[in-house]
Amino acid sequence: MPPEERPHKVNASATMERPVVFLSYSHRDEQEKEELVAQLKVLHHDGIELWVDDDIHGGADWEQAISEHIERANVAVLLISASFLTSEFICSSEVPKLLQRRDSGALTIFPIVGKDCAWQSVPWLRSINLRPKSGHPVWAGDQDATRQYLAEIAGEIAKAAHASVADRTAGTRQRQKASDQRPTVYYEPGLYRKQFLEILRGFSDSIQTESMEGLFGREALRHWRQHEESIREHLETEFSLAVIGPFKRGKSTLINALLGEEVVTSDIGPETVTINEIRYGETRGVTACLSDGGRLDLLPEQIKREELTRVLEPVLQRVSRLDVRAPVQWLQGLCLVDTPGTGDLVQRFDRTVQEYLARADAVLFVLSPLDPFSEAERSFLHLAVLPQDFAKVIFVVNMLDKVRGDTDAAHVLEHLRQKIEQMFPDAALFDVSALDELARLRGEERVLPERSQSLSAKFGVFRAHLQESVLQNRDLIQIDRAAAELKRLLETVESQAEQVRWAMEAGENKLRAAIEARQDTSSALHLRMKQNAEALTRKIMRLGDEARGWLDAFLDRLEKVAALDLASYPAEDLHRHFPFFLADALRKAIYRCLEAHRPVILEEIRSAALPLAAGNGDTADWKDILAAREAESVVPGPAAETALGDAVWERLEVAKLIFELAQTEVFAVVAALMQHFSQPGRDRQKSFLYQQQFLGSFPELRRSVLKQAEDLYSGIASRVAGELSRQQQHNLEVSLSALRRGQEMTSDRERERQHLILNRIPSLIAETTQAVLSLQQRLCPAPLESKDDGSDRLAVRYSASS
Amino acid sequence: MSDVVSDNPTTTIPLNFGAFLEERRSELAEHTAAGGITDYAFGFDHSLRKRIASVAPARYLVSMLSATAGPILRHLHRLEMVAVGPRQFPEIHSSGAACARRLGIGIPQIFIAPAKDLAAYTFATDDTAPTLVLSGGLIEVLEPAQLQFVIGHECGHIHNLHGAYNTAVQNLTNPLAKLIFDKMVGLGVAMELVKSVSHTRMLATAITGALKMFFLHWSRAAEVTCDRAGLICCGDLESAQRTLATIATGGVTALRGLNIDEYLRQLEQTRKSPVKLLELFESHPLIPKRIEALRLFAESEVFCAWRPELRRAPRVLDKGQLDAMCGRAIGILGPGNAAGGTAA
Repeated sequence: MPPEERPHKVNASATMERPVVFLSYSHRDEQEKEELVAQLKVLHHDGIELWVDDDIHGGADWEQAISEHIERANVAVLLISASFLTSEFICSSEVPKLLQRRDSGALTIFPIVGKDCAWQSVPWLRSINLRPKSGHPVWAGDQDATRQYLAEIAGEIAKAAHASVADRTAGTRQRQKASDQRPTVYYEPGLYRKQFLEILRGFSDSIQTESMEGLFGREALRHWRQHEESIREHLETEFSLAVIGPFKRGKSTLINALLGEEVVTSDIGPETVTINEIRYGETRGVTACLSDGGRLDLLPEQIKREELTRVLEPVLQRVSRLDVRAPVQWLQGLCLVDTPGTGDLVQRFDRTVQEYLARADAVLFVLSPLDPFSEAERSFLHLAVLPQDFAKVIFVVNMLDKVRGDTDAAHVLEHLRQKIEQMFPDAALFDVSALDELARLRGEERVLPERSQSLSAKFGVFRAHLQESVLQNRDLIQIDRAAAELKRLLETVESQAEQVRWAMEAGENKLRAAIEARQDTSSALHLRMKQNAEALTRKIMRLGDEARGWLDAFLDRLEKVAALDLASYPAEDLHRHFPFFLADALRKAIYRCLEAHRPVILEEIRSAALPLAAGNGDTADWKDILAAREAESVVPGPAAETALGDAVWERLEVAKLIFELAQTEVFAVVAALMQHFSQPGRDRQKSFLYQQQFLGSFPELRRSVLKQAEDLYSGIASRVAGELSRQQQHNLEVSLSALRRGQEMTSDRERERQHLILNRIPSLIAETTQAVLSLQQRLCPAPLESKDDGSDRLAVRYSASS
Repeated sequence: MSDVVSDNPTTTIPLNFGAFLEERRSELAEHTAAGGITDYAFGFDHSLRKRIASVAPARYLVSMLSATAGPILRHLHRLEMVAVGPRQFPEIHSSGAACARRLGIGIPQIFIAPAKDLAAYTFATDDTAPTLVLSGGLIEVLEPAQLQFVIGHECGHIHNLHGAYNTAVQNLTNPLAKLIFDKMVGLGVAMELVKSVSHTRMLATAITGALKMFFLHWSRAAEVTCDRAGLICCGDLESAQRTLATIATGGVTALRGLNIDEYLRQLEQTRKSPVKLLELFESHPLIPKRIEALRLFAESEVFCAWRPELRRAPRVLDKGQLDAMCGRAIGILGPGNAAGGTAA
């Protein structure tokens, strides 16, 4: 080989689990190589490293460098031409090494016939699948066809490269060669999980003991055990990624494009009603899960619509779910949940989808550029997704092929980005065409040939992000959630211990007083609780006043802007559509007010919930406790937040409650409106009269909207206050039982013994907290949510499959 | 404690009626072809309606009724019945509004007729300010979802512009409507109607003959269309079937548990008997046939397009298959003559 044919590193950064593609070509095919490299470089987004053997820097060790890169390569791309097949270096040095590595199962060879040549007479080539399959050279047709074909090949190569890496990591991980300059630290998947479970078990062993039972009572320990089991359960279930979004967003196509094959087809029976759970399987298969718990295995050919009907007819059961298995490597340890489209998301918030959502670890929300981010979607995200506090919410704008050009697409994307950022400042947003990607992967005709390159690159970016930030971090995300749960358990234990200690240390009189304060509904404690609830109600009513001010301004605008050109529309259209326009606008306005107030209301609830952890209920004591709390809340720490305890209630129940109320009340407003538009007669022919009628009835409309807003907020106030007092009642009972246990311990010797046990608890909690924190820190050197993940986390990585 | 959260969050809500209108129009255009033919209309409904319109006296009757009788009828209804509104039976009112929003027609003025019969009708006029009437009996026996089906059915008449044709048929057959029509002539309010009394007599004679069969024939097809509209609006096949079953059993509480499948089989036995020809004199297809037709529609592409979120049928029929199967289901004379009656 002449010196100018020396290898060259195109992409220098190298870490072991990045798939490496090795490109070999003859220097005489420089132009063809450049075109091919242009396509292969796109794979960089897919986390693939490209290495081309055309080093122009030269050096005595270039042959050594080639050998090393062959040793690292997962895929070798050979640009076949007469010059290639006659290059001595290639044929006598490179090819044998490549074939050897292929035989060991570590490498896939992709020979691409670039130019006409007698490849059939080369023995080793005859046994390999060539591209194009026809054997017809790539650079024989017109330029567009060539480019398109190259892009497809690039897709195939990417797939092969990832599959090869996954195969390798599934087996014993190969030790890195000493020649690799940068040391990289690896952790086996599941290691952290194991460590976390050990921490959990350690804590549990320390509290689930006879002496603790003697201290806290059987009931308390049973609660803690249940809590611990639920944490363990969550950690042991597979990572679940829920794909949600309204109808006609191409959710199924997106999933197929991700999986690289048609796993869920529009032909899979009643796919819009049932949920598809997609998992890894050695072979493809579908099991129908029936509503009575029965299961029915289906053959691949039975998945087609007509067949499925025929098969299910005698079963007489509704299919509740389809379990789909696909031999796609990255599905390992993962459950991809394909939810049914949710119609009008707000009005028909499907219960099943809600349940899946509650269990999901990450969410993929599919949007359309044609109907980007409707009010319904906004409300859904606000009320159902946002409160759950997912570590990962990824937004995908699908159907990019429906948008005219890249400029339009960029415009839509920017618009969406702004809206999404208001709600999910850390969420990632991608624009893709799943339809195009699927066509590309299946080697079919592309949807938009002229944009095929940019579309496949965009999908590549999305795929890489999913791989990098979600799939590789899935253990981490799950452990984060479990750690938050464990923190809550620690808080519960801590608060119980604090109360028992107080009860033991307080003198008999003081203790009796404390118990009485909790029992006597006219005590200062109860008074304080009542006052807090009242203050909460007042605060919410004041928020209601603010909302009414907003709505009043909104109505001013409605009166001026909307009513102004009403007379210019045909009367017929006004009759048919204006009432709904009005209803929608008002509903939006009310939602917006609630959305703005929701966090404030939650904050108020938090501060209204009384810390019942200790104290005897005297006013003086309360002041001390409150002061202590305030001081404590300045310093954030695991114990700062106790009070209301049940965070799930905070996150979900309040959201649901506000949501329910808004539904009913808003409809009442709308219904009241309709009345002004139901006066038919000769006048209805005239738009001008319609306008007059509308303006004439506006004062009444205003009155009724403001009245409804007031009712809505007072409804929220009374429900929230009710919920608060129920919760406090519960806390009161827990606290009472702790105090009574303290009262029961009469003998000094017993007290002393219990004190010893009790004294162990703070250190136990501190140790556990510390262990979890340090585990989390080791797990996540950079913040999980950082927007440009990747670069600085490369040093500590995680192998992708388990 | 600061009370003010932030700026007014409503300021960014767009208030452009023009844009809203454009969006609504394009949504609805997917379901409606030129001439107001909806995508869910049963094939025979459309073709027969065209034929009726080509018969001169019929066309005259229809236009006369819409121009003169419409407004008078509305006034008469106000006199005789309870007008539903947001403050008068608001659930019924919002049920009408929901149908209107779904189908893209004006919000109907609903009246409740003081009658125990299980009947409902709508009359003349275009689809911007429609009127429909429900009997008190219906409201008493039907569940909300079932009532939604009935209101949706009546809105279907409006949506498909059956209006005036339907009024003619109602005049001939519906006991509730007949009451009003009779009263109208009796009160002598309908001056223009009285002026054309000679025409009316002529028409009445003509209609009682062959024309009547013709109207009825169309009417049966139109009812199939409207049952489809009802299902689109109510969204629940089970409720829709139950509504028809309730009507079949006269709303008797003790008969609520009617076994629908058995009831459908019962019809099979009359298919071979000449008794079946009596259906030719009915304005609606026999109820088992309507249930059968509804079940088919629930599995159709068109229904999926209207209510994609409700799709559950593994089998999906295209429009051609649907109308062919539906024609067979409601046919009277036997296979091959799906429309029955006068269609040759």
